[in-house]
Amino acid sequence: MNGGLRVGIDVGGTNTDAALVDADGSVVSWSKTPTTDDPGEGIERALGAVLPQDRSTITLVALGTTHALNAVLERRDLGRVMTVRVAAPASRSVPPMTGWPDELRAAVDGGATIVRGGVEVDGRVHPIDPDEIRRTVDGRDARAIAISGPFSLQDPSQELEVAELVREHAGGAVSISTSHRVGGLGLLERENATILNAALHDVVARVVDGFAAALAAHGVVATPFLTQNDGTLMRLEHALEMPVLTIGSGPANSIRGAAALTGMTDAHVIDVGGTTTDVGVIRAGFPRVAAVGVDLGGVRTNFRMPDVYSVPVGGGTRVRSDGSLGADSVGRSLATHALVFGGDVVTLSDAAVAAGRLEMGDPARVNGRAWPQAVADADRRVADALDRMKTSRDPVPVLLVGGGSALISDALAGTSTVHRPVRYDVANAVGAAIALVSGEAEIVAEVADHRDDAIGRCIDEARDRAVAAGADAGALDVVSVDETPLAYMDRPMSQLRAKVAGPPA
Amino acid sequence: MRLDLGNLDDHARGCAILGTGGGGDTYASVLAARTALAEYGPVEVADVGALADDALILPVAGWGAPTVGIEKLASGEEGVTLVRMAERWFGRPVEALMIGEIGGGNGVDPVGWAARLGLPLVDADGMGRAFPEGDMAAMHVAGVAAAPAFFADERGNGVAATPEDAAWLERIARALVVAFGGSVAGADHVMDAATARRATVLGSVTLATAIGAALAADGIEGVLGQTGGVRLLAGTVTDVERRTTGGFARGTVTVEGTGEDAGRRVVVHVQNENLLAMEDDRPLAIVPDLITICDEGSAEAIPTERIRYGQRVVVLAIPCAPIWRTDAGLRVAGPERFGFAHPYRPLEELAR
Repeated sequence: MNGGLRVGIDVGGTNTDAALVDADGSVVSWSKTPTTDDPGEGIERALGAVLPQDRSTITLVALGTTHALNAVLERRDLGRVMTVRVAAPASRSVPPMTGWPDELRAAVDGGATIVRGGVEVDGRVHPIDPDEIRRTVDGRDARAIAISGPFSLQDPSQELEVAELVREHAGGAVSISTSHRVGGLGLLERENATILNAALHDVVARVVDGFAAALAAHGVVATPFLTQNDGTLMRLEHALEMPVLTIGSGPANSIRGAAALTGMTDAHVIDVGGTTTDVGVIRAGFPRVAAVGVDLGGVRTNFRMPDVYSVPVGGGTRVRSDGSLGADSVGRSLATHALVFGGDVVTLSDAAVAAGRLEMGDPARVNGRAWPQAVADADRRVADALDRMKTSRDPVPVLLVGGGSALISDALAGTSTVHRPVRYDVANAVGAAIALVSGEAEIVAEVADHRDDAIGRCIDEARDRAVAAGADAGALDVVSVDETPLAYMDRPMSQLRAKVAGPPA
Repeated sequence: MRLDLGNLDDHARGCAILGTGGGGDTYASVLAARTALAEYGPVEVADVGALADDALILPVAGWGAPTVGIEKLASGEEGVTLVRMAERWFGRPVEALMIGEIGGGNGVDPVGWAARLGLPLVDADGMGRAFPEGDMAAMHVAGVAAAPAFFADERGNGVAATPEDAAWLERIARALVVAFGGSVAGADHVMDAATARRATVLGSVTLATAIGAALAADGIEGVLGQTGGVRLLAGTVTDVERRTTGGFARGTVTVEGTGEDAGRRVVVHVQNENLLAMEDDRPLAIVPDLITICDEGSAEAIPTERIRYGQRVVVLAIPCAPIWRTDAGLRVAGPERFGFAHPYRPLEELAR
């Protein structure tokens, strides 16, 4: 862990959490401040709250941010993307961005063309027409470009060839996203993820600028990183190429932080916030990845996201007049609207205080009142979410984190043990601070005669990506290699996925 | 009836229910059909009885690996190539397309092709559900010749073949799938309307669309009302076992009852499609009757590959088309064909 002190910052929808962690992984200081509209300002404030006097002892600062996710959900600050799909005549029946919500498409669509070319499952490559590609680029002023093609996970050479042509011809500063680096099997979902990746470039660029400015303001010279979907780190240059990978970093940081704070590497993690409770899983030290595609702002994608199930249970969740737990939350207004804080809204926090589960605000304001149904509903909803995330009936160890974790019972159904780490309320920031650097690759390959070669190729690709993300090439470990045989093929083919991780260089 | 942008999603939801867990994902198929309907306008769904006896009907379907289908998408011209080949062969116009297999994505793709061609779709299909093998078609059971068969890829390549029977059709199609790069569009068991009246599963398109509309309006109850189906069990998936053998995804899904069904346990045996539902040693429903596992909340059918532990589901069984319950139908697609020792008994007797 580089021997020095590390800072983790997690910018959430409501709060920005920060933690200073020493070489043993112990939390030295921490803070929780309200998230600001300007990314740099909030980061600077959070940093200031945890930094030691001697800035030179800081070796690494890691930032997890929800800015990219919010930009997609709120259709805000997105860049206009030109999409080039290399596939014609195949795939013309479904043009790029078909089925996108109208507003999101209107914000992002910078023109889409399906040009001649494409890779076949049997390895044949249909040639491109360079003039057609140049004509496609002419007259479009999009600075962000997404390039997709069938079977590019098997053979990315054509996407790369087209990217090079586009870069030469477009000139100037363009950012190019190629689908084989962004998504998984399934052309449309991978292309969608690639378009969003390209559209998010400027959003993440602003975060990176704000981050760099905040570090400079505090005189910190340590290497800055952003955290990504699996709770690992990437250098800022890499993050600018892969902004979509920051989208699931919030839950991933919480899951990794919970594991680090308890020393457990295999468990279910329940993160209770103000509005929702997220249930995730840590396996061999990393968040379990969602098995099916992820819907992002109404767009189906297939880049790798942590497998998280959310239910409406949080400190601000309203209690209905019949005493049962509602589904909506007072959100950021908890500190003014809840009964115990002098407001007039009955929230789950009030019910939990009345039930003696936690102390918060002025308990006298709920004296003699009780909402046992609401508290029981919260436990049942969370237990139900936990059960949905399990893969068998056996009880599992659970790590309970997040600002609202005291709302939930220790005797939750389906658990073997329940652990509440000491700094449960800033587990996400701790997760960012202790993160490794990783690389992942997914390829499709024939496995009859050259299976080991194919696996080796996949691992090498993952290593290259880890080094590009900022890992120390000499200290990488293979975390996992997964193989999924493909059905109905005339010869054995598999989808291979490899993940490697190690400390930053 | 017409299929248009307003009821396409209903149709696709119904196709997924009739897919009994298989038949391919409808996602890309719906997007392609939506694109074609928006450009070329709605598709008439024609009653087979309303067509002239000698009207030429072309049953169409996609062949190939699902993995290829989600990477190399159709150009949209495949249906046009098939129709042109058939018209050249027969020397007269094709008057309607027919969905070869209503279950899953294969029930949706022909909608876009018909829109592009300006042809009606007949209100019928070859299966009334999804099946893994090409010979498991009502036309085959009824003795309609497989030949001539036509195949087309996305580039305009076409092949006409005269397979001796349905087994040769399957052999030839598999070889062409490889030659064309993992997928190919096909038309076979071409027939006139007089033949279609006795040799197909009638009413499948209106049924699929009605199922989808009822599902959207009334959930599981709506599906049961439209199909005469039976709710076998509502519960939680407690075990999923999968293995890939002989090119097929086989396995079992165990569902333990909740609520009214607490204490019950049903095991669904799967080979691409859901084929047999057992409670203890007793079959509750068996192929060719349809078994569909639906999401408890949305009531939408869950494809086999997306079933996982912890899902809240309702297991439904739906009576198959009458042709599958004949001796000839059971020889082609009965329990024995899938290696089950249990004899076929209709759902109405088993699930009582």
